[in-house]
Amino acid sequence: MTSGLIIRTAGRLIVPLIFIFGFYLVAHGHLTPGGGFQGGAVIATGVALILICYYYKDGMEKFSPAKNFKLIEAAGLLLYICTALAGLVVGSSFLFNWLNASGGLFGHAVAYGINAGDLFTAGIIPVLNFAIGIEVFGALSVVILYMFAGLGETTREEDEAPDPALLRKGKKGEKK
Amino acid sequence: MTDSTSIFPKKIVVLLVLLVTLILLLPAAGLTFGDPSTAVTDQYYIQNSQVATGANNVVSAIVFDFRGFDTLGEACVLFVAVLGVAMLFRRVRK
Amino acid sequence: MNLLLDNLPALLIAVPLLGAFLVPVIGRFLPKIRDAWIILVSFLASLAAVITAAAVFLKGTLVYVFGAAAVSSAADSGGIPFRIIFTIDGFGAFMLLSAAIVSFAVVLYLVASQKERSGKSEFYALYLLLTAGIFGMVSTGDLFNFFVFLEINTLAGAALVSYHRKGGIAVEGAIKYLIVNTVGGLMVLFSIGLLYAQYNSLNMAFLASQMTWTTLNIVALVLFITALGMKAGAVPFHFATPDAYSVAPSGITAVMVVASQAGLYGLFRVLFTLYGGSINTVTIGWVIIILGILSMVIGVTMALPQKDIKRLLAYHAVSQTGYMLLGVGVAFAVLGDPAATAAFGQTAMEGGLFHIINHALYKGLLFLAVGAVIYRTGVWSLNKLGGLGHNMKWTMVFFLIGALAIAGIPPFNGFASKLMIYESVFAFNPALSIIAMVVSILTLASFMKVFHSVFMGPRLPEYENVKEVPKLMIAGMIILTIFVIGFGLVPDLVVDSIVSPAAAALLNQGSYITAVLGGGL
Repeated sequence: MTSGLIIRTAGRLIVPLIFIFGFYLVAHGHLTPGGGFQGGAVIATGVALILICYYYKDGMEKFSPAKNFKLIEAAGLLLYICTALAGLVVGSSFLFNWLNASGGLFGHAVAYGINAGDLFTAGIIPVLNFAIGIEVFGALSVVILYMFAGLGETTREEDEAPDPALLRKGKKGEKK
Repeated sequence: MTDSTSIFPKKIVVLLVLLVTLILLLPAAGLTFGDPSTAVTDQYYIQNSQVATGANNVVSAIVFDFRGFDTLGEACVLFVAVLGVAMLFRRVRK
Repeated sequence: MNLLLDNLPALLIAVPLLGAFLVPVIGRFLPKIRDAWIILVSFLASLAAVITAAAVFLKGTLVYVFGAAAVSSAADSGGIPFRIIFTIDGFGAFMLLSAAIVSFAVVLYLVASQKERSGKSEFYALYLLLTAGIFGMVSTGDLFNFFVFLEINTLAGAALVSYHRKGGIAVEGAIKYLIVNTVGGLMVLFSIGLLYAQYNSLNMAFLASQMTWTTLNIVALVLFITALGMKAGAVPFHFATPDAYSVAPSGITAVMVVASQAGLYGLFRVLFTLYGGSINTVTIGWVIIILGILSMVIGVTMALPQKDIKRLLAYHAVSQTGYMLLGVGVAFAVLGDPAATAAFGQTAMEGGLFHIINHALYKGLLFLAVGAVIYRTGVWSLNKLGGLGHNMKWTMVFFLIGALAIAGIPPFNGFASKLMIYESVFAFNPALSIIAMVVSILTLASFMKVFHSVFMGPRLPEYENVKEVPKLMIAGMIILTIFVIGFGLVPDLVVDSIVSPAAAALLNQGSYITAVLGGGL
């Protein structure tokens, strides 16, 4: 069962725009307001829109079930902590900004004062922004998918669930 | 859901909440935030963060460079919350 | 190797975090090595904690600055620290030792006892994150970093408590724990905001050097005591403790005891180092003493009529927390009086601190032994158990050792710390010491009842086929037993090498400030 034609078509048009906007917020975090947390949340709303258009069983489960998003989330955090540990290798402390003003990937130096905003500055800050963006996107998508997939399903558990009738009378008094 | 199971009547609860809120707001009267003469740390961040970190956005510089360890902690908190949700909603495959 | 030794405080947090982030990946692609991976990571984390503690005891306070060009340049320009600093002094090293021992022993126990359950990847990842949270909370020298680690502990602890869902009962205990600790965390955040607005810094050493006795600081102190008392399970705020401890898996309860003691660490750090001698210590000391007395008495009297074993042990945990509060409260009340401090204040402090590690060890052992009984029989009610001494000999011996330790019988470790507390509190005020001794007698009575009704008596027909627990669980319990007996046989050596530096570090606010800010401020 999927939603109507209007929602599906509009969703197909809007979802790529949402992803691009979220990616822009993450990538320009060190120049404009935004950053990892904000951009990751916007990208997760794209996933929510896909879920609204195509429900879990027909759309999302074939596209990418929840366990893949858990890997995405773990990958984001691994990127963060590996970047932080790289500061140890360089010879300074944990989380040292070893790319700043070094001529490497994000290493242009910045002088004091108003400037036009160069994307390739600020050292490890854009790298950490990407890591947090991936992590927040994965995390919020996992939460949305679990809550959506569990609608109307009963769970089975390993331990024996006590009889609800017993909970009111004898057993509850005994557990006191 | 009505509050017929509480031993305190509704008015006393509302009064208690208002009283605690007023007590907690009392210190706010004596504080001055952002006064440049007393805010040494804030002035240091404003003056030096652009050159020391290379980012134009001072908020990003503080969140990811000066206090980046706290951001790692907050990312872990989000990870813990998601793991908790995944553990609670797990389904047993027999 | 030099690189590792210089950056030990960062590795202390980075190793369990890296292990925790890799557990979902390993659980998905290589599930056979997941158990071996988590034992390895927990061993490395505990090893890092022990080496850090040894470095602090040999060389003095360790200061580590995150994100700076050189690792130990604390005060950047202007003499005020601008980055996050880890300050591990004697007291922090002491707490690291107790957390390291208990967390590794419990991992061995959990790998065997949770073998046939689902959702193990998330469970082990959460366990490693809780370990990282405890290590961070006792090492940090920055107030907001302390709050962040407090949040990690709260959420990871609540999620771990709810692992066996049991039709919603475990989830209810987890929600109570979550709500109480989150409210406490919010109160801590409010106090941090008050302090930041006045002094514009979040570093503990800098705040300690600037602290004065104004109304706003009194409000902040009251909020700190309430919130950290909620985390530690002291008496007017102990409501989450029995429910959460009784429904959690047994190994997790042993680690939650260590986590709530990390809350006690926060309380003592705020009292002694952040506020220190600038406040009216007699009044605040008496407040802590009264909280301690209430915890002791109410904990043991609520424990006596319990039928659920784990709930009974949880109330005893509340009662033993009262001993620690009593000892350290007496030391705080006489802080402004150097003669009294030298006479009995130092001993009271050492007794209270020694009791922290002793309690983590013997309470952990008791919870693991009771968990072994529940693992084999599936029954938690004292009315239905009996005669298990015939079948489970090892478990009976471990439980007996733990019960004698908690009651304060020589030669186990409970006796040493309780004797120090009795002697010094008697010199302060004899009535308090008599209450402490009566509570100890009631504790002994309660444990005799439990031991008799679980292990003694004729062999019951429904427990014919109950066997001993798997070897890994016994290995975990053996590790804790070695320390319980060892600390009891040579208490002087332990106090001189581990506890006295911790007490000296707490009593001496000036050395903490000098270690971070570099003297002369």
